[in-house]
Amino acid sequence: MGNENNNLKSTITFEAETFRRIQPEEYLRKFIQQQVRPDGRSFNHFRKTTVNLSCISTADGSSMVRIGNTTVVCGIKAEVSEPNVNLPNEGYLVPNVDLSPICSPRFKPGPPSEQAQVLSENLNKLLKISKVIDLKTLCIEEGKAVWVLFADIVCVNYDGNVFDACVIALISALMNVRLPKAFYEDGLVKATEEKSITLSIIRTPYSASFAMFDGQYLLVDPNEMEESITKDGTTVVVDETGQLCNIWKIGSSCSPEQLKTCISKARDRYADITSIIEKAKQAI
Amino acid sequence: MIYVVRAVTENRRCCSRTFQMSRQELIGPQGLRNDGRRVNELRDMKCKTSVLSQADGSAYIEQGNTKCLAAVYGPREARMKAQILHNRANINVEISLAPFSMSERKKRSKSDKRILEIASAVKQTFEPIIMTELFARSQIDIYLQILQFDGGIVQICINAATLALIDAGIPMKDYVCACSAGCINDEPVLDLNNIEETNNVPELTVALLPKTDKITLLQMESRLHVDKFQPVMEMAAIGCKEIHTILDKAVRENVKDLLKKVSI
Amino acid sequence: MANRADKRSFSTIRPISISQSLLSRDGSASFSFGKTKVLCSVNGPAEVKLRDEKLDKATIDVVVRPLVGTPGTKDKTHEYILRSAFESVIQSGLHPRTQIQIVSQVMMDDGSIIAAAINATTMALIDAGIPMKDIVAAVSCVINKEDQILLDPTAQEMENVKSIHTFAFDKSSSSLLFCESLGLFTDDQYFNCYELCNVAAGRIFEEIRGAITNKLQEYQGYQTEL
Repeated sequence: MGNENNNLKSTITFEAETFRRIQPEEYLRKFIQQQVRPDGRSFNHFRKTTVNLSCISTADGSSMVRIGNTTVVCGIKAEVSEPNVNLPNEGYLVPNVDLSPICSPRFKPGPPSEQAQVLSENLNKLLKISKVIDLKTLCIEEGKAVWVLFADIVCVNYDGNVFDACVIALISALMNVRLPKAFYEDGLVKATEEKSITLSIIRTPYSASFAMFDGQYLLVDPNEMEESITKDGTTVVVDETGQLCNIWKIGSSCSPEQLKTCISKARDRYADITSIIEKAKQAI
Repeated sequence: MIYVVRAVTENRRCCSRTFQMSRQELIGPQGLRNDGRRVNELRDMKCKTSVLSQADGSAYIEQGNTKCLAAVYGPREARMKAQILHNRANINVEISLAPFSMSERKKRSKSDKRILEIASAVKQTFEPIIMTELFARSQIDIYLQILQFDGGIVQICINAATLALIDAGIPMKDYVCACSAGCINDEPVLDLNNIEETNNVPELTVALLPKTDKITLLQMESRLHVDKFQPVMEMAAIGCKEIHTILDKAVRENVKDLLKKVSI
Repeated sequence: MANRADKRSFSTIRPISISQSLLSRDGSASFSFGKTKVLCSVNGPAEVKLRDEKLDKATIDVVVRPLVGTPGTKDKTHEYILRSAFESVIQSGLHPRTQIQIVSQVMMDDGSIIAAAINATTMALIDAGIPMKDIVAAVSCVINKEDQILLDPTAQEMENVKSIHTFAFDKSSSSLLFCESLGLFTDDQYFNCYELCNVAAGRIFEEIRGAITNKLQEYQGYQTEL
C-alpha cells in the first residue's frame, strides 16, 4: 500500500488525451516548444483549402469552402425589393453567418450566438467599406426596384478560422452569381428565364488569420483548439493589388513588427487562394 | 421566355415570387416522369458517413436534388435538467433548412411549425429503435441540415439520421429506412420530387425496419382512395428495401476504410 | 493648413471630459470626446451564475446598450471587442468564481464611439478598484479622400472616407491591444496611423491621470475637513 503511494508521488503519468483535457495550455506549449503544432503542422503552414463552386442548385450563386476540417457553405439568393429612399439607385448585399449546433458541440440551438453576430457584422463592414461590389449595378429601376442579394453562410463543421472560410466562400459565391435580366413595368418586375448576368466585382479581398501564443509564437490558420487556448487573434485582409482592406486584432498586446509579419504572410496566402479559386472555376 | 413575375408592393420590402406554371403532365406519354424516371424508380442516391470531424457521428445524403447533412452528438449530458429521463436517454431532433435551400428564400425557418412537426415525427420514429435504456439520464442530439430541397424531406431526414446514428456507434435494433410513394393517374409512383409534391399528388411516407418488415412511421396528409392504399404502400415498402441496400453499402464501405486505417 | 469643420488641426483630438463615481454602482465613469459620450458602470466582483462560472478566474460580462432601440449585431460586436480587450488586462485570476459586469451605455454617438467606450470602461474599472495589470486607452482616426489622416473623427468626418482605424494601447509598454482597420490602405498609411494614435493615446493617459489625481485630491480635502 505504502509502496503504491510512493510510486504515485514520484511519477504521475497521463495519457496524452487526458493531459490535453485537463491542461490544454500546457499541452499546446509542449508542442510549440518543439517547433511543431499538435496536428503536425509547422507554424507557417495553412491547412489544405478547397473550394467548390455551384454546389447548390436552388441558389443563384453558391460555393463550399473547406479549410482543413472547417467547412462552410455559402448560398446567395437574389430577390427584388424597393431601394432605400436616401440611396434610390443602390441595391443591397446582406451577409449572414449561421453557426448552427450541427457544426460543433459548443453551439447550442437557439438565437444566433455572439460569435455568429460578430462574424456577420465584420463581413458586412468588410463588404461595405471596402466596396467589394458596386451596389449601383444592382439597380433595376431607380427609386422603384433593386436586387437584394442575401448571402447566407452556413457553417457545417467548425474547426477554427471560420472568418477566413467565410470570406473565401462569400467572394467566390459572388463570382458565381448569375442573375436574370430584369425589367420594370408598371409596378411589376419581369425577369428572363435565362440567368446570364454576372456581378461586376470591383475588389476580391481574401483574409488570413493568425493566433499568437505566449506573445511570441505566431501560428497561422489556427484550428479550433489553438483558437480557444490562445484567445489572441489577428486577421489581415488584402485585395488583389496588395492593398490592405481590413486589420482586426484582439487579445493581449503585440508589436508593430509582429503585425508586419502578419501582413506579409497574408499577401503570400492571397496568391494561394487565387489559384485555388481559379482551379475551382475551371472545374465547374 | 419570360417566366418570373415579381410584384413590387408599395409598402412592403419583401415581395413574393409567383411561378406562372401551367399544370404539367406528371407522367409523359412514354410512361416517364418529368425528371426522366420510370414510375417505380428511386432518385439517384449518394451517401457518405463520417463527413464531419466535430460530431460524434455524421452523414451526408443526396436523394436526387435534395441534400441533407446529419450530425449526431451524444450520448452526452442533458442540456436542461427538465429534459432528463431517469430510465432512458432523451432524444432531441432539430432540423434546419438553409435559407438558400428552397426556390424562395425563407427566414428563420427553425421555428417553423411544419419543421417542428417533421422533427417530432423523426424523433418518434427513432425512439423505439435506439436502445435508449442503455443511457439513462443522458441526451442524444440529432441535428439535420437541409442544404438543398427538392421534395421528400421526411424520408431524407430519417435516412440521414440512421446513417449518422450508426456512424456514432449508438446501439440500435435495426436500420430505419424511409421512402415515399404517391399515386398519379391511379398508378402508384415511387419517391416523389418537389414538382410532384406541389401538384397535389397524394404522398405516403413509410419508415420500415428491413429485418422484420415492421413499420415505425406511416404518414399521409392527403386524400387517397382506399383501394389504392395497398399498392402505394407496397411500392413504398419496396423503395425502403432498396434504400436499405444503399445505406448498408455506405456503412460497410466506411467500415472497410476504417479497417484499412487501423491496419496501417 | 486647411482646418477641419470644428477648427481643429488634423492631429488634434476633441476636448476630453471625464467624470467618475456618477452612479451608485461599484464603479462608474463617463468619458467624452467632444459630443461623443459613453457612460460606463462596473459591478463586481459579484456572484456569478452557475452556468458562467470559471474555476480559475472571474467571468467578465460586457453589455453594450445603444442610445435608442434594442441591441443589434453592432452592439454585440462592441461587447466582444470590449471583453477581449479587457480580459487580457484585468487580473481576473485574483477573483475566481465571480463575475465582473461592465455595462456601457452610449449617450451620444458623434464618431469614434468604440474608442470612447474603451476609455470609459478603463475609467470605470479604476473607479471600481478592480485590479488591473495595465490601463488601456483608445483613439480612432480616418484617412479621407485626399489621403489626409484625421485624428479622432466626428460622425460627419467618418462618412465617405478611404479607411477607418481604431487602436487601443496599454500604458506600460504602449503596445497594441486592439485594432480594427477597415477600408483601403497601404502599409505605410497603416503604420502612420498607428504612430499617430499611439502618441494621442499618450495624451489620453495624461488626461486619465489628471482625472484620478483631481478625484484623489478632492477626496483628501474631504477627509481633512472631517
